[in-house]
Amino acid sequence: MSIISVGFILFAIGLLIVYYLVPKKAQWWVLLAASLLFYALGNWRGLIYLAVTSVSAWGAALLIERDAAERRAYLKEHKSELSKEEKSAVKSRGRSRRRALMALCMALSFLILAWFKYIHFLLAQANAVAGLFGGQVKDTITLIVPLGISFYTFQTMGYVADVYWERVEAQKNPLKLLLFTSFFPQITQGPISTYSDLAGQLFAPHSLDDRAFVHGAERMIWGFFKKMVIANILSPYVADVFANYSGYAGAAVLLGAFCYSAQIYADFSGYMDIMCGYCQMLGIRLTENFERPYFSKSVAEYWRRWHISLGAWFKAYLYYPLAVSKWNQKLGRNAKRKLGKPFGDYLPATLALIVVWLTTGLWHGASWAYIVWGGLNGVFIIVSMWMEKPFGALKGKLGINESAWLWRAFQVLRTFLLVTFIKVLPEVGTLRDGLGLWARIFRGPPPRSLGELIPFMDKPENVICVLLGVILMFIVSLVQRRGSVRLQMEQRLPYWLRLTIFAVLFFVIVYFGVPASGGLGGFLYAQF
Amino acid sequence: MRSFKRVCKSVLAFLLVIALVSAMLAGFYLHTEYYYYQDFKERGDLTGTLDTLYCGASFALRAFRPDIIDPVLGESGYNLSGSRLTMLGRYTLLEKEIKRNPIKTVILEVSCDTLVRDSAQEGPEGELLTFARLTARDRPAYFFQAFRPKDWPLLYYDLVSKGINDACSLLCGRIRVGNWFLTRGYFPFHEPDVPFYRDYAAMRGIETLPAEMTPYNIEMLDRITALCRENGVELVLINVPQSKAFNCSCTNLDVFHQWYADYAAKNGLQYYNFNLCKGIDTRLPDEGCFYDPHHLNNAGAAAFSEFYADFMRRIRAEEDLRDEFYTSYAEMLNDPAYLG
Repeated sequence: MSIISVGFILFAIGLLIVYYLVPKKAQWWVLLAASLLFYALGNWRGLIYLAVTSVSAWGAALLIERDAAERRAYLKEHKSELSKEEKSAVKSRGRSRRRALMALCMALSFLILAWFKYIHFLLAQANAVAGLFGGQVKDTITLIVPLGISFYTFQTMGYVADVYWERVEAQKNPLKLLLFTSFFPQITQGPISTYSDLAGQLFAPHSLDDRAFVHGAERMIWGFFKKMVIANILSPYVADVFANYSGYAGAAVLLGAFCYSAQIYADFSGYMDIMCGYCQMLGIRLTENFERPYFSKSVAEYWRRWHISLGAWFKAYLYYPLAVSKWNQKLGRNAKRKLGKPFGDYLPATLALIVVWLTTGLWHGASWAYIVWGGLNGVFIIVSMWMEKPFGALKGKLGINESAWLWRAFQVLRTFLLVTFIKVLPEVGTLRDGLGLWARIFRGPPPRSLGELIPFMDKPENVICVLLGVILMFIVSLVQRRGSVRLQMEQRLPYWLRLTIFAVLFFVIVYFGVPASGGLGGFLYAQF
Repeated sequence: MRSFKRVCKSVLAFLLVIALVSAMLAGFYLHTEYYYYQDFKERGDLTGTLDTLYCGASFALRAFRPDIIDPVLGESGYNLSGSRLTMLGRYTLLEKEIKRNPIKTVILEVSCDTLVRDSAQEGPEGELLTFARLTARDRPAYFFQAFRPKDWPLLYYDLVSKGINDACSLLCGRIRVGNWFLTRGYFPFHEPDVPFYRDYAAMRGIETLPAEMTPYNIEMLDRITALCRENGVELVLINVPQSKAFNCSCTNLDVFHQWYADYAAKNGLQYYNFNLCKGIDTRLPDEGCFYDPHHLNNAGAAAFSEFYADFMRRIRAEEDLRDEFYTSYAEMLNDPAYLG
């Protein structure tokens, strides 16, 4: 079911009414039924894979927790009988068994994910290799990728890892874990929540809170505005530039890239606003996924502010385990001994970052363009990590005041340009196309007229609307620095003015957003 | 409970504002949109005086001028046509006028898309235009007849977006409040007539029109036929002139022509396809008489109305005019004299 549809609005209203009418203990049942219905309406066959992931995670987590409990009980019972080495051996065997259970569960879920997301990519690479020897590998597989498979797989595997690390208790009720896995506001585009963050809220009783309800509704309207008006108006223009960049002036392609940055932010954050706002109406607080990312002063900071939950997941479940692993630490010590302190300090983190960013690229898309995209992000982060001290020294020598607004503006602009350039690389098509687009920006002819610079903006009212929308997003971002925008509006603006603002937004969404959304359908991040 | 009351208050306040603004915008659309002829007052004033109705979509809206036809035929006619007027809209308007007027003749415009159009695909605009032409008393019944629940969101969008456009046009002085002309339903173009030309030979046979007539539209045509029969009204099917460019470009106009001819024969009706009238292209040349491939301009409407009046006068004098028509589009397009 598309979020941008009357059907979803009716579904959401119906769910709200039922949710607050049923006894509070039954509210999570309502959420579960709604989530499964939402999923089935999109792709009922995908429910099978979602159920397999959820059930395997439930079973594995219970077994892991039971094993750990039995170990602890055994060691407590035989505390006085066992030697230190025997206790250590018991602990080690238990850890190995629990790790094997976790690995088995993860292997199953990630294999399902890999099958649906990467089989065509793998077959294409196999075909390329076979081609070198005169052979051929045919790809005759037709697959429908289960809705949200990337998101729910990561979320559920994070839960299994948390149980293994004894950060959370295993959920004994398989249906409750199914709700955690399938919760519909986050199934298609995240955020990827941790079990400790979300579960308590999902299963807790919720009373109607009028302020949360109204703030949530206001946030939803804002989200629809960003998605339907800004993102959807820009979408066909950006798509045309990316598809036909060789026919556009260099500056027009650059403008198209900037428009893409605005489009993807409005699209993705718009979805988050819609779903976070809706969950707020239900009394549930979802993890925030954006924190004014285009105000970042470095690529590393950008990734702490953009798709925050994905970055947090990779940090918690991939980066840290790799960085602090024994082999990596040993490697660091050896490097420090042989190559010097900086190598010792940064090598473990560097290796972990390389793995994380190549995986991040692969998560976003099964293509070399996405892998290179991830790698590029990683390179910038790694280089800035290594060069932090030398650059710091250089800035000191040059007398650069890092808190001066001019310097910060430079950093923000630099980061925006960098992430925009990296961002467009995989969006054009193949890696070659992405590089071709970059080349066109720098080597394309200059535009001969304003019409050639903005050839895709054939409706001036749309141009003005998008421009004003982007300015409004910028202003809202500035206001957000001081805290929740809706709270500040409530404190500073009279009720009638707030009502007017959201009524105007509503009519702008109807007038500009409805025609822009016709046939444009889904959200960009739903492809992941 | 207090939270629930506050939520209800907030939701109701918001919905009230939306409803009020929407009603205002709908008002701009329904009462100032210059393109659409809002004629329920004029028709109301003429109640009991009309004996001839011309009913069709925009092709007929721009073709029949009662002020030219009536003096020649001694009639009191009204052009009931409307832009995108659907078969349901035609039936509704005809039924109303036949009930309150001594109607003797209904001229029903039929063309290549009359029975093919489907509001499920096109959207509810045609029904919305008809809705606006009804009185407040007739609108509720028509609303539920014409608009399915799944049309309501699109209908709302149509009202709001057109209302905003018309509000802006009104503020800029491009349109005025009120949209009736007292021209008995004929709706003149505001823009001056400009030449319209196409290369006929180059356009030959480049387009095949969708030809699947919907059962619903055929049912409505049957209902119009029955309505006229029950009320002793003569029903005449007429295909108004399209541009020569259009007639040359289509490959399957004979499909429609033959269908209407068969329908008329089966139901004992008269059927005249003026596109097949010999010499119509010189009488109504594209350059001087057409606004676009399908619609006559002001000069074309005047010329066609004169021609039509004279034609009907001769038909009623029982002149045999069959030789003045080609029998099919194929015959016409194969006539060297036609292509020139």
